[in-house]
Amino acid sequence: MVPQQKEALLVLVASTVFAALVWPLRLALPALECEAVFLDLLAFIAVLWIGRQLVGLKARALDERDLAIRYRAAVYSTHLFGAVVMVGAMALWAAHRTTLAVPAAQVALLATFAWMAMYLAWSLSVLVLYRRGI
Amino acid sequence: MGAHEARLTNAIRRLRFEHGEMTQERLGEMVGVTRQTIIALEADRYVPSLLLALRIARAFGRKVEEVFILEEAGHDTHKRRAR
Repeated sequence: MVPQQKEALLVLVASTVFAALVWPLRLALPALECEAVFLDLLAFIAVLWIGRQLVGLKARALDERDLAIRYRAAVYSTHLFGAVVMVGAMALWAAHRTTLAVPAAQVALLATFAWMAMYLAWSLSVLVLYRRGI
Repeated sequence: MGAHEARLTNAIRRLRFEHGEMTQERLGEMVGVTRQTIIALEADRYVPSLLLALRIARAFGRKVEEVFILEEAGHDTHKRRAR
């Protein structure tokens, strides 16, 4: 397994775990809902950063196939990020259009889930592209 | 295969064995890619850049068209000649 595949596995596990943690955190800290959601997001980013050091991923070690897979996965995941943000924003508008007041915590949730969905899609794309070929 | 469909195959595996059973690792080192990329190339799961194709051909002392074969619908005569 090349370092980028290990990185993708790490991202897959981390994004799944931290996405699952958002809900219990919100319930545990009802008065600090926004802070809890953003804390989860920050912890996710920190784990990814630390994990990359542990996996030993270095840009110099990636060859042209690794880079091609990385870029293609990035294209897929950013498209998904855009779609999640668009659909989420429309859903928030639809849910609160009568009051025109979207709760801040829901915006924080949308941002967090969109970000994690992007990483999840990136990791899955990388793993699939290594297996299927590019 | 449709009129405009094409597929790139290669003779890397055969050429490796013709060159003293050169390992995938060794070829990867010579051309600056990982062993996994050589495996993917041999399995036709990766189309290399022109630069990498030229490097591989040079590593075997062959012309690039002797290593890589473009198979097109109705135009695969080159493949038959090369193999």
